[in-house]
Amino acid sequence: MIALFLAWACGGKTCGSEGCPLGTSCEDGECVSRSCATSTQCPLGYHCGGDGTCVAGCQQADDCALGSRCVASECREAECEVTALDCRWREWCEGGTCRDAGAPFCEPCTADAQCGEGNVCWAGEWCGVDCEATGSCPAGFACTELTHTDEQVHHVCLAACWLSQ
Amino acid sequence: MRIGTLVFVAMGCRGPEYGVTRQTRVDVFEQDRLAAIDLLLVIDNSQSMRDEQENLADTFDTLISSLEAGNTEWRVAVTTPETSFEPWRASLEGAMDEVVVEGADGARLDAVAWDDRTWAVDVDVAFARCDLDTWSVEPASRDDRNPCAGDPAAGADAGPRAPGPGELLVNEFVPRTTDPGCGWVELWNPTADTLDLTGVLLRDDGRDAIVLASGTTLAPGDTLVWTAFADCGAADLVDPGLHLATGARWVGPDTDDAAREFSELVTVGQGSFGLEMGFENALATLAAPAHPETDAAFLREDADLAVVFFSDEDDLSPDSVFDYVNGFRALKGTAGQREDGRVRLAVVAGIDAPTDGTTTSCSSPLGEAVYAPRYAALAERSGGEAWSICGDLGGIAESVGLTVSEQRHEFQLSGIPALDTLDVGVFASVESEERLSTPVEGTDWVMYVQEDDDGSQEVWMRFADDVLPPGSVLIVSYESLPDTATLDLPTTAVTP
Repeated sequence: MIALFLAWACGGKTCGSEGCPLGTSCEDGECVSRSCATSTQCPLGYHCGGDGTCVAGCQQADDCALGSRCVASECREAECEVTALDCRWREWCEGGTCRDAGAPFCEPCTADAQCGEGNVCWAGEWCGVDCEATGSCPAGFACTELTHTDEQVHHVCLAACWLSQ
Repeated sequence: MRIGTLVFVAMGCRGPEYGVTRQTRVDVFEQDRLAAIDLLLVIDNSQSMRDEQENLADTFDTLISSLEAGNTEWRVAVTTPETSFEPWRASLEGAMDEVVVEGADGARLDAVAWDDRTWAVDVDVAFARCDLDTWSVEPASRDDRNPCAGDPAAGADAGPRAPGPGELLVNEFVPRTTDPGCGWVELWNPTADTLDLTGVLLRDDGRDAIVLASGTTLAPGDTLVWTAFADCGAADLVDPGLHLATGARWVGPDTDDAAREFSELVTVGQGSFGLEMGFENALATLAAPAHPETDAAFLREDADLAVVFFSDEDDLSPDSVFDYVNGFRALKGTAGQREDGRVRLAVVAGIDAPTDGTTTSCSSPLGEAVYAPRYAALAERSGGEAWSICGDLGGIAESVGLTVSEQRHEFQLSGIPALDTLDVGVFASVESEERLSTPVEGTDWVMYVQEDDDGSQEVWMRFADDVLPPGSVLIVSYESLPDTATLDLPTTAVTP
């Protein structure tokens, strides 16, 4: 349908009393086709410029993906607030920035000793980091109660570690 | 805020009036998208969700009634949050089913399962465990026995007696047929004794089951054929209580016996490993399906998308909540990213934060639900709906249907109109320019304004139901005022 409209465009035609065909505007006495009327018709990261074309760069937050801000015409991710919501796998939210928690979370292992004090080698494959005191884990992990091979109940941060390989 | 598809704006010649420069604008809004919705239900397949799955299967009629009330061309599919294992990863439900035979005492006598992703289940093709003539063909999945061995004619008949495991076998079955719902199953007595089948249960992996009547017997070497309906063909047992999945990956208005098919899809089993990744698996199923040959066609380019998550746990997907919100919206291109209505995300989960120091969000007769902040955040950040999974699932299904079938009513004008110059028309199409109606202010539409970030006004029109039928084109022409002009209009829409 849009193509049909544009096919009616009459770039170069002189504006008369009848105006211009749909899809074109009368500018400086000539009918000119435009590609956008509002920024909602432009891809994210662009806005609709005064000449009716999509221009790189945002003008406001609506020109950016949800959760991003428009700063100096650039879309930037907003600061994180909650680890589990705002960060990606194995990251902590610290001071508004998501940072990789790193080892020993989901480190391959064969024995508890490889995972650090208080931690366990879960299923003999992956380090489960103790979370009993805080109950908190990096994003993508759940503080899970499990009975370990030492027959003790542990609370450790578990995730689908095998998917990270 | 929802806006329509603003195709473009045409400006006419300029002319000074009222001391300002006016331009003639013609805003054209396409309403030619199908009034269509692709609805993906993401249903937790962990053990704790068994009862909720059953309840959800019962809500189909409510859900569909709500969808159809919106004059919507709907399509519903199901996936799970399970990314750890095949066959759930990035896949729509509907490929698998099974036939299980249980004795009157509950003992499992036999079972066959099929998955058309691993071997084709074609229409009207019979699968034979033991071809009683050639003894050759076996399906890919069955109990670990050798039912084809032995000679049922040997020995004296010590029956009738109840069958034991391996003594009443699913010998042949046809899950998919040209005549919808006419699948059939052939049971075989491989023993030397007459079997008393009283109370024998025939079921699938969903919620269907039939119980064989008292006095039903099967002689040595004989077969008993079940089918659902009398007009399906000759059968020893006709009972509509069992429904074999047809392999459909989604149901829609044209699906035969849609409620039964939906039931097959929704009862996804309880095979989850337990680390739920609903966001990840749903997005992968839609964006990069593991089985594109059957699943990719679910998403229609012209349809809106709705994804509804049902779970009693939280999501553990690897990316941030906003990553997934934006990922789902990107499935519908620029329109999906820019317009709130094209992609709708909703959750049915433990959305209420516990206040007693535990992780339990809510309880119901069906069980407890863990607080799920990520599911709650998905709804909140996408402007979607959130319901407690401990609520009435029938009511939720109705709300889901109403939410996803909501029609487009609001459109933003590209400029500030001089109100006395407005001409509002609804056309059959741009090509024909046939004017269907001239909506009337107050009765058919109202106008309101919203303040933009820079203090300028956005002008919106809200239309009453049924003013803009699917396939129509709305054209609003007017003399536009300078962008700095302001109109004395309400700041909220009052439904006309």
